Amino acid sequence: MTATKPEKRRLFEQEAMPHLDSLFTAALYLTRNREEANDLCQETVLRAYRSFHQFTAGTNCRAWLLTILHNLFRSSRSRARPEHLSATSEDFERAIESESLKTSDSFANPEAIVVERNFDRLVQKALQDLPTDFKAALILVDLEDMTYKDAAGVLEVPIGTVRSRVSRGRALLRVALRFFAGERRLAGVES
Amino acid sequence: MDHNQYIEQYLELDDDQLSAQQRLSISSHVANCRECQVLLTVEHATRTMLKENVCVIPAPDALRRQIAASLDAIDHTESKRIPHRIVNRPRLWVAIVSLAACMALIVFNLRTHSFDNPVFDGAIASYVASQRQFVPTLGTKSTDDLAIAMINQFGVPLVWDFSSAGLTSRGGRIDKMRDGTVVAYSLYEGTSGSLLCIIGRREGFRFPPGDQVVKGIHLYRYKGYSIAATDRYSVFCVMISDLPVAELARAFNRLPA
Repeated sequence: MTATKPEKRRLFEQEAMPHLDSLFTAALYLTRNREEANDLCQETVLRAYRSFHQFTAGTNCRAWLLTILHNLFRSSRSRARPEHLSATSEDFERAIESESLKTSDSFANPEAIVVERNFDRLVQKALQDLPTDFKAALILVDLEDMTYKDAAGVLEVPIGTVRSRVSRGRALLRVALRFFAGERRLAGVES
Repeated sequence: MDHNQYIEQYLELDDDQLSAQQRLSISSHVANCRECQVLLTVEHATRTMLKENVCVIPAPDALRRQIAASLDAIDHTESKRIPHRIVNRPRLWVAIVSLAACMALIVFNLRTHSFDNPVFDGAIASYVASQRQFVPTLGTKSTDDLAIAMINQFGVPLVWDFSSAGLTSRGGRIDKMRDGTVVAYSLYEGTSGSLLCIIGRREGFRFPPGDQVVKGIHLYRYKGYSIAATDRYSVFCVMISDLPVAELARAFNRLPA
């Protein structure tokens, strides 16, 4: 795609900017931090704008933007120090189990549980706490309605990997929600 | 294949990745297998639950404004870098004008820098954004207080006094980047122009030799802006201004040795 400057900006705003909310949502779930999500989102848009000439008009702009976002997120994560987040599904299950049995900022305190009684908050927290690889696959396939093939392109992994991450991610989500729901019942909060 | 694998494949049927025979085989297995039916129901229910409870979160207005400002900055720098193309019938006077323009461009490039420097580009984007909106977080306009904040953050009192260039401090802010690094900004303004000073840790900071070096500070004319860069102690400092380079050089010359 070639365009003069004002034309380039107009096309970019027409093609890419409508997807900003999707980018921000994905960034927020991936980073779990509003400031980091802002930075990731902004960097994604600026990088996309600089390389907009590489975008083929008529193709999936959202997938293209999400590919840039996930690439940036992966490189920032590889630079960052290891986080306390669960790296594997086994870690996650252990973490969820211990969280349900012991303490957790959001769920151990009865008052917090009352605040968190809305089911949507539980689902959002469960998704947010998933190991990154599973979370990224679920965001693309289940929330963004991408095909497995497109999601594989965005995540730069084989399609079989996406398939298994989606399946495993959903299973982990159910595990997390079962634990949270059980805990809420223990606390006397309607489930 | 086990039941889980059947379901994984079944959910992918719309993806056009399987042959007609595979589709038929998978579909007929799932249709006739009680266990697969249960698994399929659970998968659909999980997906529905996700879609119904996790909605798209609107990007904040502040982020939209920040992005618009950064895009403006990119447009601005790119429009200065790319010469306008003259499309016309080839006539002699066009050739002469083109030749003159080329000569002017060569002279201009010799006087300025034709290199691309991502650090400087980023600094210019921050400067342009600061001209639209600058919210000090240090809550002070005093250079002494700014110096104390710099000591607390970086261990050095790296604050400049541009009063000789007619610029006064409008305050500072300290931001944490996504990779955890901390960057400090201080904005100076006057009737003749403004200057944004950016300070951070030195790791990985590189800048080319300047056209002019005053007391260890490298000065450049870059993409229409005056830039000063230095790394001292354990930090780097990049200053961007719309003042002429000569004005900055005079201000640095007046600083104590």
